[in-house]
Amino acid sequence: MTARAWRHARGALVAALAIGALTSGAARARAQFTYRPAGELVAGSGRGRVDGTVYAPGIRFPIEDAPAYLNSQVWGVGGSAGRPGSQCDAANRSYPWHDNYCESRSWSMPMCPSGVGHQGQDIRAATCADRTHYAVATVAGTITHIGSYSVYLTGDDGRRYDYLHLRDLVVRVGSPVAKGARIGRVSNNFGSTATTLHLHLNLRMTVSGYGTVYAPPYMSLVRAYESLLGVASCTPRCEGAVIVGADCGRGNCAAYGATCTTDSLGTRCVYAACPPRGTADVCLDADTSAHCVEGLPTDIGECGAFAAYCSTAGRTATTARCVSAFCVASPEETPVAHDGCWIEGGQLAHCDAQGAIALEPCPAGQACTTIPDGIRDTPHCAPAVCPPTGDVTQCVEGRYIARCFGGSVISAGDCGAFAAYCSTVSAAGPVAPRCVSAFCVGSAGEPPRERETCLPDGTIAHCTAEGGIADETECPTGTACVARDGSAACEASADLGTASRDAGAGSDAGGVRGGSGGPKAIEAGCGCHAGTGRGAQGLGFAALALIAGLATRRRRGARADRARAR
Amino acid sequence: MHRITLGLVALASGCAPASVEPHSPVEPQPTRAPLVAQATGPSREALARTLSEASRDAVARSPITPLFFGTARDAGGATITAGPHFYAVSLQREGHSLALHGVDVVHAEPGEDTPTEAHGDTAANAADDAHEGARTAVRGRPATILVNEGIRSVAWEEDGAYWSLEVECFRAFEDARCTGDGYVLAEAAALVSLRGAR
Repeated sequence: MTARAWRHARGALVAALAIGALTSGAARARAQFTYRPAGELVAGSGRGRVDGTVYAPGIRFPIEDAPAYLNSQVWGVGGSAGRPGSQCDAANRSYPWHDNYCESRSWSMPMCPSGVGHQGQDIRAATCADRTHYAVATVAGTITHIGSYSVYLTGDDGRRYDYLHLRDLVVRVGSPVAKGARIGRVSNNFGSTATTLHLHLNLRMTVSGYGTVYAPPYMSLVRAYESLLGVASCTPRCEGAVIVGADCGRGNCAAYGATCTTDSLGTRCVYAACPPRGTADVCLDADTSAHCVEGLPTDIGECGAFAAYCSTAGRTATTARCVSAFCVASPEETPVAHDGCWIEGGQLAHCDAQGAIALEPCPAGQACTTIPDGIRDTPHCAPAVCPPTGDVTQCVEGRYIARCFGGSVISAGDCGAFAAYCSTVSAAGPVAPRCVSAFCVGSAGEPPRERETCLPDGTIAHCTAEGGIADETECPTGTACVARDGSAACEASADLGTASRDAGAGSDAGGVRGGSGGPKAIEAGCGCHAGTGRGAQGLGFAALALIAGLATRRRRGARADRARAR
Repeated sequence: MHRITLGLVALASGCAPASVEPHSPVEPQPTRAPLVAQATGPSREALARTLSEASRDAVARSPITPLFFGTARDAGGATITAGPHFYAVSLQREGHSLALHGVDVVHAEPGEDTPTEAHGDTAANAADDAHEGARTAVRGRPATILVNEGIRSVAWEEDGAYWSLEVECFRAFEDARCTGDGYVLAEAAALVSLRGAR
């Protein structure tokens, strides 16, 4: 996936989830309704359970009509620990809601952080009127018990919802009730005494590790109230690769190369290339890097736009970086510090061990070259031999086949290392630079022709029209090679001295036996093939090696061209 | 077996066993506190015969072994209900009521509680004592006692079912049956199975 596609994917996912929020209904009602997080109790009222779990998903809000208010009775206005005033004070009927599960009590409560606390949630109805507002069934179920001031509604799944302090009950024990059906009116019934006007709701259920307990009801009530207000609400979850948000928006993580994950950070898409937790720098592909935070790519890097690869070679998969394509041949190659000749302006290029490149202009009149100067066999600045621009191959110093690019000699093959000249002439006219055996021609400017000649060890060599040595014939013992007028023969040793000088080339070419061969490639990556054969076959290997070297450079050049174009 | 257990509970509580008759909860009567569960009771067959038809049907449908109050002389005042995953008994008595619930499922894994800085936790000092005090044993099994707005309950696990028994008093903060653990523990200990009863 390209960087652009990744950006698009991210944007599309965010948009998909946002659409769910925008189209989910009563935005106005939601704007008015606010609630504090689960576990955040009224200041000074104890330590809540910070637990966003919806223990009773899908329930109906237990008061028939909105608005209703979840808050503390004891710590509210008029409560025994609250501000002095009336329980009907408007402050008691305002948002935001507050959790009051685990609010300070002396009663044992296994799920409360302190081990003691309030078992349920206190809910005030819309107004302070007694026996006016109906409490309704959270689920379809059965009324399983009615006490002096309690009504128990048990759902088919065994979860039990305890309604306290009601009066005017319209149900009796054993009554089946439908979800939303009326149960009784909100009041202050506390048996022989009275409490404030409110509904106390418990959620009694089994929780793994705790047994039968009063579970936290707050977030279940938040979701139920959102539903009552017409605001779509869902429990964030994964449905395979599909993510469902709290606002019921849905998005397919898989469509963006991600998986849906639920962990302590919540429900979210985690991209395949990113670790689910923490930060990391990874490669999305050979051209693109990404900075990941908690499973999401937050910053996309286009290495390819800078003639570079995204690479993790030599390091961990989470510490990716851009490596100049000039410094390595592939993303898999671990970069090492070295110099090269840049393909523009004849500049020297320094690659560091991280694959980063730094350019250094050469002094006036000089350009970068890979041709050794007898002191340095690494790229360096030397008097310019190439045209300042363009991609050309030419002979340099009569022995090197040099590829010039942007003023630099970016690669060079050394014909001289194989007793050969670099030549651009033939009997038919100018040709591309090639190696011509020094045993077959007298100088770089002499066009080669098909002929026989004598090598310094007395062997007859057969030169081709291209200047290579096709084959050799050793002379029998007691004879030596004698060359005359383009042909050679084995004759008695007495004639040797005169005849071999007639060869015209011979030992002047450096005294290395072996014919033309190929140019010895100087640029790394070319030399492995050069000079491995002799005669025409050797020339073929040299050409392949040179082509291979040039191909590598051409690809790098293309990346650089692309970088310049952008 | 139940006679012995309940007798010990009564002695330990320093109370004399009292007769408890089923009573309408509508008009609660003054409580003769403290009260402890009756030590003797009818056979399960006799109890089952006094159940309403709807309650007998619920017993038959119970997804778990149905328990009933061994201290009840007449089950006519009890209402038994059952669902796919629960069994429940509601029993009205003089000045108080008993609610027995059993389920055959664990409903949820606990969510992650991420403690934050406590602010004004007035009950923190009592936490350890309260927590320790909540643990007990009933019917030979570990049990937990909880109190909810004056409603005292004991919860335990038995034969793969999760049970809780609650007692709710009209005078929640005066009636010894609701202010102490003895009564609810004795009632829990006296529960008998109705499985097989006709």
